Amino acid sequence: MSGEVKAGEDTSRAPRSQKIQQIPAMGDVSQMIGGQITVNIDGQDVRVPMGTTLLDAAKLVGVRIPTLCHHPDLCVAGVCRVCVVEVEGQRALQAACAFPVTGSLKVKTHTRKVRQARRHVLDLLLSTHYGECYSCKRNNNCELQALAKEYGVDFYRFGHVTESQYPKDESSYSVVRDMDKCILCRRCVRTCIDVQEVGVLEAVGRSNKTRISTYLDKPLGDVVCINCGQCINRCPTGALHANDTSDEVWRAIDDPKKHVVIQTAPSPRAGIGECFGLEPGTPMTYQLNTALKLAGFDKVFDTNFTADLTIIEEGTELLLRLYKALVKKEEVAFPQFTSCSPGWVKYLEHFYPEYIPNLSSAKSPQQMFGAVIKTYYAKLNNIDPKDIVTVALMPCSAKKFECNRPEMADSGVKDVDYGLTTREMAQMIKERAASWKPRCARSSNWCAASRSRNCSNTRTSSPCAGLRACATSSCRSPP
Amino acid sequence: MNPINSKKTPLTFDTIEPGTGLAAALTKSRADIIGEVAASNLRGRGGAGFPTGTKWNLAAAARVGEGHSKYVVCNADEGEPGTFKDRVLLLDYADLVFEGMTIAARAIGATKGILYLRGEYVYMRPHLDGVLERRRQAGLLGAAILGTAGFDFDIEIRMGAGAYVCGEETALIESLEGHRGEPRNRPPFPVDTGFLGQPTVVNNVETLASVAAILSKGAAWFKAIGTERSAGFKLFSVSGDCTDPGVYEFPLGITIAALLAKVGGSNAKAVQIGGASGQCVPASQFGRTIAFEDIATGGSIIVFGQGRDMLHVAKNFMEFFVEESCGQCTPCRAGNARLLDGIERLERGECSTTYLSELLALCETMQLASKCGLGQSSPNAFVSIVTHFQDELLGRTAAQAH
Amino acid sequence: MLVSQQQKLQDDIRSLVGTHGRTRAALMPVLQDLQRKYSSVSDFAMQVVADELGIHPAEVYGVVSFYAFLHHEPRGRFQVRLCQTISCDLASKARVARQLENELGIAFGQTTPDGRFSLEWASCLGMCDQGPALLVNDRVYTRVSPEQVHQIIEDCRRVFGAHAVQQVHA
Repeated sequence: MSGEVKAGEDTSRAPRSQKIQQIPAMGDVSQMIGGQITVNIDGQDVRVPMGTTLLDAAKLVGVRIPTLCHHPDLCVAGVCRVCVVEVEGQRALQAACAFPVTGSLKVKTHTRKVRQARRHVLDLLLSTHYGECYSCKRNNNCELQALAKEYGVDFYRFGHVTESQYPKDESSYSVVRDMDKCILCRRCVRTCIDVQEVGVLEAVGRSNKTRISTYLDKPLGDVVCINCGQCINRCPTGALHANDTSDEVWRAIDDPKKHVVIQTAPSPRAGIGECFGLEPGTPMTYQLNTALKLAGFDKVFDTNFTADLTIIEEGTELLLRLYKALVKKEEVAFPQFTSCSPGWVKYLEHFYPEYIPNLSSAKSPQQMFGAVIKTYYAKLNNIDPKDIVTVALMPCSAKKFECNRPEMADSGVKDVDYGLTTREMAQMIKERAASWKPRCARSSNWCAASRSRNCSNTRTSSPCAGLRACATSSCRSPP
Repeated sequence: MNPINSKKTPLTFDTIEPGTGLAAALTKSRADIIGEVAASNLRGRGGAGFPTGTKWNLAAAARVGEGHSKYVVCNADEGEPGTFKDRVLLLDYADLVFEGMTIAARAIGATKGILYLRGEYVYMRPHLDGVLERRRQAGLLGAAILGTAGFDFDIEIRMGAGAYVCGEETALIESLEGHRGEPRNRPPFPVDTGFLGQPTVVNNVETLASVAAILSKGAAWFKAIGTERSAGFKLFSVSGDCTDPGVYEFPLGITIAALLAKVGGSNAKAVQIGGASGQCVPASQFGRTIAFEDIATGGSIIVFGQGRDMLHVAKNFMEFFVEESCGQCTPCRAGNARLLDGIERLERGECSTTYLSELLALCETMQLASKCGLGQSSPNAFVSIVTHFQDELLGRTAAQAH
Repeated sequence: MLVSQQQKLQDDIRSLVGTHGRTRAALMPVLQDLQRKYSSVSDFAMQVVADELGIHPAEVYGVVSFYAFLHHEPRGRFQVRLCQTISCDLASKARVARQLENELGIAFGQTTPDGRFSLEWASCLGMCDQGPALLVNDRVYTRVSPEQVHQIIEDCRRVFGAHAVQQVHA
């Protein structure tokens, strides 16, 4: 991209129409003084600062207004129209997410017109929403499905597509796009352009031929997508999901000739509890290690080890650069940037290639790990690297892309074979653990350990787990 | 250059000496110009009928960003089916239109004007560029207009590119800013946050020409024409099954029957008033008046003769909306497609009364819940045709299919 | 595309950006001028425009795909647009449409193999009192009858023949 940024210049590429409607997040409303307005929502008065959206005002009095295109991280869109409410004195219904309060208002959120409109919006969305919920990645975790249930959708009022309208885009190692399930809320567009400033996804075409697409409708694998997966995070339906390789991992586990090694990054260990109904952030390191062993991985390692290697490498490199610059007075690229995030690396490669020399030449911890396993570890244990399958449990979809970069094969074969996200790992654990439950309960391993941890919520060491125990144990879990 | 003369009645604009409106405006204070426009009761001629004086007042009061300017935009994206009055105004009365823009600029304190000309009118561009250049030479545009110190204003022409929705003022502004022509959420309104985030007045071509006339002849003169709530004269674009289609001028408040008599369409079966987004009025209601009190219109009159198939008419309108919806909000994007599908079912004789009433309920939803005026008005024609011509629609057989 | 042609296109875009300004608001005029000159906004052109204006190519594509008068696939030198809206419909636009297809040998939405003509529908052209109306590039024809279609097309062909060398890769 061309463009030198002048100081103070607005660099956000969000459409102006959306930028001007960005409404700063409310702090503690009760503490605010001045510019307050009373809004009457369903008969309850609430005082809010001027400019508060009706949606936020309604939240304060406990009135729930359904939303689809609204997302707290993103600027206002007001396109799905499921949040419409009746504002006294206005002929048309107003989108609560986009309507700022500027004067005293009386609002009704559940009148006949409102209910009919919401139901119709859902019916219209469902009329072009292809696919069945039970074969969807987002089954039971889908905002459209939840609203359909809430509004009692029991038949397709305006029909329902019975054939796929768009080919699924599985070209990317990280993100799968399934336009059949897209409801055009444009959260992904706003994420990609506004938050990430990558600008891969955009609304294309118009009218009922509008679709979310890439430049010239190219496959996602062929455009400047950095695989960050932020669009997946914000997609309300199953239109965007990570490229799941758990089937391949299962196949490797089930193959007795393969030695399957997994590394776990710190973040999934803190995040995976959420998939089992725990508070986000609950530390699950030991339970996870046990669960992985039970799922059938031969060895479980901690990525922290290679993270240390990365730090040593990067630190050494920095010292060398400083030496060259200060002592030998050579031209050296400064500052030195980390190369640990494959999303960041790809962003730099596409958008600021002139800064590539600034990137550290060290591999990321994930890739160092793969190389160590398939060289040093393979030799140590006398295993042919071709028979080793390395899996990485990572918090980021870009890691899936990283392990598939062609240069990441220092061992002669692919250094890291598969990257899994936290959600996919939780799915694998659920899939395997179901039949293992009685055994789990009997022996004080995963289930028991997690139970005790959940209840006490204190950090106690588990007797059965721990990196060393798992990593050095040679026994394969009994079938 | 296309010599297209379709004026069928003498227009009041012929009697306005170009330049007199602006000269009169420059003798007044800004507040007095707005006062004069407000006193004339002029309402937007594009169809929505928002009081022009109020709009200007809001823009005049709005604060402008540091280093920025207020804008006057002339909406010449005349895309409503059956409307072509702006074509005549731009070809024959361009001076009055630009004069109106200059007066608006004076009133709200704008320094930049933009004429947003629809892509289909590209053949007018050389003519309009010529008029602008002539006005610059004459000191009617540029710095210190007519020697008035501090009154700088110039007009730039920007072309549309074939999108009906850009006639909606916020979509028009989006288009000017280089975006897809998708309407914005309102509020904030353009008078406060418009082009490049600055206060912007968007007025129809005819509104601006009328402003020049009002400043020239006085608010009282204008107000005396028409009805109480619909002051002034109005241009009508008449087409369809009548002997004399073209542009007519009538005072607001004229009955449909009287209008039809003038255009040679008295034997009509129905009249579409307000274009595709307006309503279809059957012969039994030809006594109604065309005014903001009864049937508001941007001036489009399409006459349907006896023997016209009203379902075919509804289908043509709905095809138009399916093509022209911006695709942003759900009710309009998916709703219009469902309505077109419903019309095709009626055509094939495959629509139950239950489904038809479900479609009418959907129409209500679209009118209420769509994001902009396009989606809110696109079901109008269908609803009025179903209401007035239901006997024609149900139980069709293959023989009737077109 | 030959490198020299790419270079020319790039230079053209730079000069257009110079004229209209290096801001997002200049996007439409730049695209419209490109469309007029090259009959389409090519893939390469969209990338250069995006680069020059500092926006994402996907956004340029989003804009080009939105407007009916902007195209990214190659279009004919003459873009023949027949109004399909109600008044022209009442004035028997269907017969004119049929004859246009017959004369050009293509259906609506297609371009002749020689790259001279593209045929497409237009929403209301604002010639409702004089329908059926036809817009060929920036020239409008009114009260078009099926018999006149041949002559209109022939007139275009003659213009094309005379200026073919300058126009085709202008």
